[in-house]
Amino acid sequence: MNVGVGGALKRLLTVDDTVLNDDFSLSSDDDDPGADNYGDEPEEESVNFTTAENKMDTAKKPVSMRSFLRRAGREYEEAVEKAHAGQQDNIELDLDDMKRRLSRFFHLPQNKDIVIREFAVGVEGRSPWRGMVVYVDGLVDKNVINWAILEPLMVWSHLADDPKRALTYVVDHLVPGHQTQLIEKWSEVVFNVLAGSSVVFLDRCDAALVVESKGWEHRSVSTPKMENVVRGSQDAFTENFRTNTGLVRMRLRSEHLVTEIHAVGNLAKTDVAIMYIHGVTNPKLVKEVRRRIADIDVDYVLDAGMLEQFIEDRPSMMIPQVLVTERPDRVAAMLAEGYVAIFVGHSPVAIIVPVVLWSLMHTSEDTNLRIIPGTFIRAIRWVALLTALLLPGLYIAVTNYHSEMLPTDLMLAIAGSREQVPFPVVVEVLLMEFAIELIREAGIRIPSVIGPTIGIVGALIIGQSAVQAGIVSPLLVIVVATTALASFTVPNYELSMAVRILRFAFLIAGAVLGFYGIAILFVVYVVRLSMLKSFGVPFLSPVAPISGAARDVLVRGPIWGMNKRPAFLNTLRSWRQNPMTRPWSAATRRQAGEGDSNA
Amino acid sequence: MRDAKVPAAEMTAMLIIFVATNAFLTYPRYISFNAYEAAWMEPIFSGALTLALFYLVEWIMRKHFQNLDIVEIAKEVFGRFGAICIALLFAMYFLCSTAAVMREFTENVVSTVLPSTPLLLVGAVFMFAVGYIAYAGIEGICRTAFIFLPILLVGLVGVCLMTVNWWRPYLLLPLWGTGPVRVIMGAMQYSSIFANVLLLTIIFPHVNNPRKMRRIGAVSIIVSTLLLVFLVLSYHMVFPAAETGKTSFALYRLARMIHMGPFFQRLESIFIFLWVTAATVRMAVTMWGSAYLLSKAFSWPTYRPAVPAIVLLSFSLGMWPQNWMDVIELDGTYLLKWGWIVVFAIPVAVLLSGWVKRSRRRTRRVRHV
Repeated sequence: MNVGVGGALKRLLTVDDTVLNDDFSLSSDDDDPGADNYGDEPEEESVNFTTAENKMDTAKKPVSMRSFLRRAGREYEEAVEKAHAGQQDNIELDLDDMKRRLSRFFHLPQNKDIVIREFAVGVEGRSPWRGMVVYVDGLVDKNVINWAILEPLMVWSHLADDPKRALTYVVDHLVPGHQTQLIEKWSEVVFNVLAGSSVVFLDRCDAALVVESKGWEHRSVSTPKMENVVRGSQDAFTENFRTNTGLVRMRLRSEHLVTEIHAVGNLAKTDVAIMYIHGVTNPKLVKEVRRRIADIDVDYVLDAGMLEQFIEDRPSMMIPQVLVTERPDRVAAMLAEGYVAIFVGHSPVAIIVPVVLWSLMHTSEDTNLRIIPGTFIRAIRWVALLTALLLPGLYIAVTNYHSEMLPTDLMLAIAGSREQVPFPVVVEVLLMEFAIELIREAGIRIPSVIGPTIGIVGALIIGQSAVQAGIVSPLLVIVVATTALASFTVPNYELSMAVRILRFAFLIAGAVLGFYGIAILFVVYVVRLSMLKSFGVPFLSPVAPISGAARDVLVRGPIWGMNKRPAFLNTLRSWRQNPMTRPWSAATRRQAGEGDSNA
Repeated sequence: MRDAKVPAAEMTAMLIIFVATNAFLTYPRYISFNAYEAAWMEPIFSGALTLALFYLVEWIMRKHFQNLDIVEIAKEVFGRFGAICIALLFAMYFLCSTAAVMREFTENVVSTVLPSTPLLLVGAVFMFAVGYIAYAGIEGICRTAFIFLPILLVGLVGVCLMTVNWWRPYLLLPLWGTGPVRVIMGAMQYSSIFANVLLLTIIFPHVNNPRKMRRIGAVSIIVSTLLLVFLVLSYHMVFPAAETGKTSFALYRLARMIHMGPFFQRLESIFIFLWVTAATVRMAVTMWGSAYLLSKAFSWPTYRPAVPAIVLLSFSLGMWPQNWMDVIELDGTYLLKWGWIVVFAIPVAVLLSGWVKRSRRRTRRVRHV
């Protein structure tokens, strides 16, 4: 072993790939004889060990990181090229060839959920007309296969007069599927089978028939989990892609509502739907969304949370730059405003872009309430946001640096309550904040059966016992509890997460420099936000930069007065309602300067 | 380099904050010392003078130098070398102004709310924030200014109004204080706080709609003048004139007087938010101006790399004087007293020279034709 400074430095800067040559390694599939011999009949293999490619590389020489990465990249590209080589995109004429190809591609017979059902089409003729249907068990509705594919082709085709051996005849006269499509490419076959459709092949046909048969198990539409409201609809998206788009279309019944469907992912495709209103939404916005989604080069997109990080302007920021909602009514309302909605696979949430900070503090309930209550609850939310963000930091700043600003009695009360506490106030706050974070996280992860325990643990041990033990002061418990409550008031989960983390930054700023530190950090963060963009829209629009928008920003504007769509969206139609929305009202007519016609 | 475009409202907010921030600095001390009871008149005269010059400069730029800034105009008039000299002069003025304000501000913070914190730490944090805002560019500065303007307005007016139970209007008499001549001379001498004219010559190409420039100038100058006048009036109604010229932090003294029941007393700490937000925006403007002028003078593709260097330079410059009184002395003697030459005289002279040169060239061309 090479010891010494030189050797250590060399090992730091090089990759010793000898570790890859252990007895068991995930990277050495080629050595395992049984790993890849399914599908086709295993063939006896004769290997010439003298050739260069089959020689075991036993040399254990270290390589530099650069050459290691270069070699890895080259190997990856070669593997991809090899995987694609020799694959023709046409459909085999011979059914046996097609079956062999399917078996090889879908790893049959090991793969048990890909079903190939062979049958004979019941036409009269000199020779039987063979066919097969391919589908994924578990993704399809078996009734569709039984009654809409197999039965008509096997049984009822006997009754047909002069049946022709052509797929177009089968589509037009025999298969009663509600959505059928003729395809001619192998890639389309694979895509449709994996998407839950059934693909029908008939012997001597150079095309295949896709019959819509999606029928996997899914949760039915239920109430929202994260965005509850008192007034407003009580349904939320589910894990069903088509149900989700349908829930929006059910509300927004416009022929101009467009749902484009794209597929993302190299290893496994995930459906991504882009929804917008043609003629209202800015085409540049739609184009940008399309471009960002098309440019995603990834093996697999699991959920909306992953996709949003791929398309966001600055995913490293804590503040979200897209709006995630589980409410179809909110999506419908925002589509009508000119936003674009994105649905990802079977995710129970939709992404809305672009987003501005103020929208993250709105709920769908706001517009259902009358103007004063609507404004009131929105104001409460803004106060709560600032409380959740700043209160612990301000508490530390006041107790450490600015105690003179408190009335003497209150200051004495705080000092008295802290008399028994052995820690500095910052440690005390950090302890309590950490405890609250634990309760929050445990509250989500804990099995529901023992859920009530968390309340007992939180309330009794932390709230009561910690104070009695002299670890924290009673006033601090109030401060931390108020902060926790305030953070739950923030309607957007992602924003609430950002506030949770930023609170610690303000806490430290307050501990180090008091109000001065908090103010400096606040200014810096506001500047950061003012320079942030979401899909080309400044994040603090329409406040900074100011743009002519409806008064639906910090407070809730009157429904009858918010006549225009947000100017920052640059929609094709800026007016969303007639300037005089209450023509029957004498007061409205007077305001519009038309006088009272009844007078 | 792409010229950032700023909407009129944000530009107005930035200019208001730029001037009104002087309420937190040493400006009230100097005018009080100079004019005594009539100190409140000085911002009015200075504002009126600035407004007149602003209109003149705006008219010349709109008519003859659209989409050009002062450096580009100086290049036309005096050539590249002359333009570099003028840009360096302005950049130096901004640099010194940033340094002076930084030291004054941090000394104020240390002496009032953070007495045990090292001055260097307070200053370094402050300069980091200022540098960050300046790095965001004129768009970022103006957006931030627009967001924080309501805080400034409410805070400044709030401080003045909450001392209403201490107001004694007879302290404003005799009306002319040290006499009209001295008041007017003082107004002209200390008018450099209204750097709107110089700023106009720099930001003119950055305004979204140059036709609104006159309105921007009028609103910003009038509002900031009113704020300063209101503050000085309140200050002088609370403290006798002989005392006001001896204190260097008028607003803090006013804030300390607030006493409205047991829960509304000693609110000066709350006003830290007001001071910090306004001062950071103001200093970001001067810092950005300095970096921008240098980049224009030396034809750099962008001003941003200059920002960290200017942050360090102004920080070092600000920390150079031994103590606070030295800074006040230097600021009062050089920057405030003679600043009008840089913020008014030179820009106007450059523009007038440019105008004359263009007119001559046009006349020559006409004759030639």
